[in-house]
Amino acid sequence: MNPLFETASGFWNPVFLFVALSLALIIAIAIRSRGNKTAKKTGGQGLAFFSGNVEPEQNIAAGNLYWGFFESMKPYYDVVKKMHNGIVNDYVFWFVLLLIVLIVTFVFGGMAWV
Amino acid sequence: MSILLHAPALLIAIPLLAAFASVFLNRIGKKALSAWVVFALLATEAIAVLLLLDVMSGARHVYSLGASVPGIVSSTGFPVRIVLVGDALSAMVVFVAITIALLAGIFSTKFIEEGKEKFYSLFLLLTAGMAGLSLTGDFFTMFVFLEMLSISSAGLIAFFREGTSFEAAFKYMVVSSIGILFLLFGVGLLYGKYGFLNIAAVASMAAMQFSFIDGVALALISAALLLKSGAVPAHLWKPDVYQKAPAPVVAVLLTSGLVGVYLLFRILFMIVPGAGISQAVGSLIAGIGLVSIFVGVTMALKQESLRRLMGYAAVAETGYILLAIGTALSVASFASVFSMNALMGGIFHIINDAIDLGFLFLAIGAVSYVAKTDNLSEIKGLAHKAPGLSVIFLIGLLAISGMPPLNGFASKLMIFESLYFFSPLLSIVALLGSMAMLAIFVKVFASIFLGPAFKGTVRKLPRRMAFVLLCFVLTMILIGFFPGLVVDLLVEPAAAALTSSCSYIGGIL
Repeated sequence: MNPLFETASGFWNPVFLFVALSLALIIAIAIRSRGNKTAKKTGGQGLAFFSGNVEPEQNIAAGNLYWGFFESMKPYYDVVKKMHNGIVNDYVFWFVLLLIVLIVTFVFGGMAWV
Repeated sequence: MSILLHAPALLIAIPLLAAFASVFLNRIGKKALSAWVVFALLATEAIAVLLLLDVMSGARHVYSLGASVPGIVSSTGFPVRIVLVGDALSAMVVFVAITIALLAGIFSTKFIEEGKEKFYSLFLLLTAGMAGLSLTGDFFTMFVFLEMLSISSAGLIAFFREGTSFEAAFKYMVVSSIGILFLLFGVGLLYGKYGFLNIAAVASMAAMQFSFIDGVALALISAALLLKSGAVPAHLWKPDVYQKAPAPVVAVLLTSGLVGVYLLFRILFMIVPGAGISQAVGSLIAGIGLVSIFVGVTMALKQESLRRLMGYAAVAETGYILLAIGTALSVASFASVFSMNALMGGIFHIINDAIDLGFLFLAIGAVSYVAKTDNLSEIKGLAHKAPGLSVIFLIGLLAISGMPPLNGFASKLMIFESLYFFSPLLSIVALLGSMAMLAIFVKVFASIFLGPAFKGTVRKLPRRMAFVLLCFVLTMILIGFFPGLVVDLLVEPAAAALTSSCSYIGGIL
């Protein structure tokens, strides 16, 4: 079985990536192994982002990860949130709207039948 | 071989009969019932594999249900029959659908603890509906199988019998019924004009004498199938349903949506190029795909509920398929390497979506089983107590985000590459969507597995459930490492079957 995958304008070989990732892993392990072996494994020094302070019980919630993105996209979200209101009548409205667009496209798309 | 001869009918008949028999099998015992369901699904899978192996060489199975000499003939002299068609494309779709149903069925034997007989009856009916939809060769049978699929799906969505699951099932039933009603109206228009319902026969006539009636009928059918596949703006039911349905049901439901995408393109590719509207229709479908990607990923980023988030991610993933195949349809000249590449990328993405999203929903089910809660927002830092599950979950997340060297990457590579050839802007938006998808799944992984250790008690994941998840992960890795093999064996013959509509029509008529 050949992993080489030819596409329309080039090729992709996952084995290259696998080799590259393996090399990166070996280098990382090699660097790590040169570290101070007498370092204490307890305490806060291993916690890179807390500078030795006590680890907080509650991290930043996953929902807040993209706060900046939501703020910049607020006008867009205001519109789409209205669309996703959970009311089944509106679901049907959007479906009918899609149907109208489809009818216009199928009927007038080529004008071959006129 | 007689089994192969009757394979299209058996693929529907086995799960259908097993569905009714499972009610009686429950009287023997729960273990007997589970064994029966797995046996029925394995038998169906074996036939799907046989059919696939046979059609890969270019053969086509046309199976007519009815008397050897047709007794009923339509006004135009066309025999009234139920026709099932198994070619490289439909056999591939039915194989994918049955495989996902089999794995989800095995998973359910441990996941569903109460009311198994009701669950399996509906689950097998859903499987039979999917198989029927994949193989149907006429419009009326398509309507019947869509109804079968919708009714069984609604029952399964409400399976946990909670207030909100009833609401989700009700919404699904309302929206789905309206969609199917419009589809029936479209089918009626075609029957009124041509006097027969065979898809190939209607396509051969409609492509030559495309009229206002054909346009409206085709739009009605396409709208219903787009609703089924959950494309924007007919996607609104999807997050509601995926949030509340049992995990194995969601895995099968999303596969049924992909079967809807297949049917849409099967019909469009037969009629639209001949009618001279492929550029307009293809561009519209590609546009719907693009909007689906954008709305899907941006809404997914905003979600607090994990399953709802996954529902929007599924909308975005369907968008990639619509974008790729719609672009190929708009070009309509399949002589171009890039249009064929877009088409193959879209078909390949159907397979990858079914595997990756199916896996993720089952993995979410496994997470809730291990943590003993359905409220996923309560689960944090699970990696400390279930490291194995966290690793396989991460592999699934990377696969659906299109990260190399997993399966999602290969199909997205084909899609992005060919889109860039037609319009760099399309390619950029699609790429940004994929990057946003990765951002979404960073959030998913962080919220479930990272952070301080999970405080609740966890239970061990049953071997059967772990086996199913491992099967999915192994498939993702194998397809990721050997994408060329899948393209050569499954995708290329399927794309050839889709584009050679004259051969399909001629073969059936």
